[in-house]
Amino acid sequence: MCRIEIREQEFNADFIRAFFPKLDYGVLKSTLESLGDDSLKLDSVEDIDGQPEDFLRLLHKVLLEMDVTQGEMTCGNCQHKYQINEGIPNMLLGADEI
Amino acid sequence: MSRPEHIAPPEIFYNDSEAGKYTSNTRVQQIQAEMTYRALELLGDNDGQTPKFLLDIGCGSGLSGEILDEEGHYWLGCDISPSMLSIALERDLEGDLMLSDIGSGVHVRAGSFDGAISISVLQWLCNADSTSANPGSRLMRFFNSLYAALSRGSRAVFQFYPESDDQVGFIMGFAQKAGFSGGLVVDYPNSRKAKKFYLCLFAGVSGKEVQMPAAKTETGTVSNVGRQSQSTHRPPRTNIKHSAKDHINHKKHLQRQKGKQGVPLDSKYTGRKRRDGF
Repeated sequence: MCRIEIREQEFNADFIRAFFPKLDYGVLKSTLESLGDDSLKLDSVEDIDGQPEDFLRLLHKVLLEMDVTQGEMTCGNCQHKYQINEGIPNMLLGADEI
Repeated sequence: MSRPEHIAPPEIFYNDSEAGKYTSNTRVQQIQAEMTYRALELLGDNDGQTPKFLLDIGCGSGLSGEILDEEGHYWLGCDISPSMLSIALERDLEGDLMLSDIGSGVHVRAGSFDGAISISVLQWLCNADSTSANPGSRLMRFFNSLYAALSRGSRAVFQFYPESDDQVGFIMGFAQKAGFSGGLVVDYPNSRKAKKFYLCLFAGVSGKEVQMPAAKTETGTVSNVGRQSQSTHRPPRTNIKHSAKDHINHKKHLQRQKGKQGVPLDSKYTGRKRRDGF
């Protein structure tokens, strides 16, 4: 069970350009696909400065406006499930799980 | 001053009623806002052009997040108290929230943040709330994971209420082991109430020589309490008082240093006797 909401935010191209190098684009794409969204078409992005503004707007929507309000994240390493409730992921672990 | 961290662990102390009281108290709001502005100032070189992606450690109900919104930054807040976070949700802030225990590490991708701020949080980490919790290893894990989460050359500013000098040394020791450089900035060091501790940490080198920011006092800036060697040479005593006027001027000087308001001005009438028959 998974719910997604869109919260509109002001678009800032400079911020997206500065933020992009920190991002693992492949992981972002596969995460979106697991949520049933295939709006990211490119397989990889070499140079963010050469991209059209439409692409930046798409990234803005995906990164800042899309909010998973209900769902769960599964750790790729230990398969632990982290619940997301009202948009807040619960990352707390028991003393025996650390 | 009472210390809430001695009463209960944070996730239990800040229950629904305590979180509500904390957030609706205008005095707390004002102090938190002032400290957030100061922390942002200490975060440094804010050109105001590109907004930063900041981490708010122990964001609580988002009193500090509100300021980050105002300044146009993007932020992620983490806190251990679900009650505080549910109030933050009601307050409709722009930033994202995460329920996590910083003592178990900061769970984000390495190099994600352009900086981190934390208001009145660090002292909570110094308490062992359960038999399995060891403050030292929790601080170590926190600073190690924070160092990884910050991009190179960025800063982290922590406002906190240390119990003693030993506690400051204890915390800073772990920050240094994790690879941070930096030190402590003490604002208004002569005042008991306005005195505030800010731990400024630098993650990696930013190319240029980093200068510790100066602390604030009522009259101007004083040098910070860093790791500079202090001269052991003591200046000769200068407070030998000769007259009542000197004594009064000395007391006024001390009050001004403490940042007291309404200290009378100095004039030629200072310390003079009134005429007889008044």
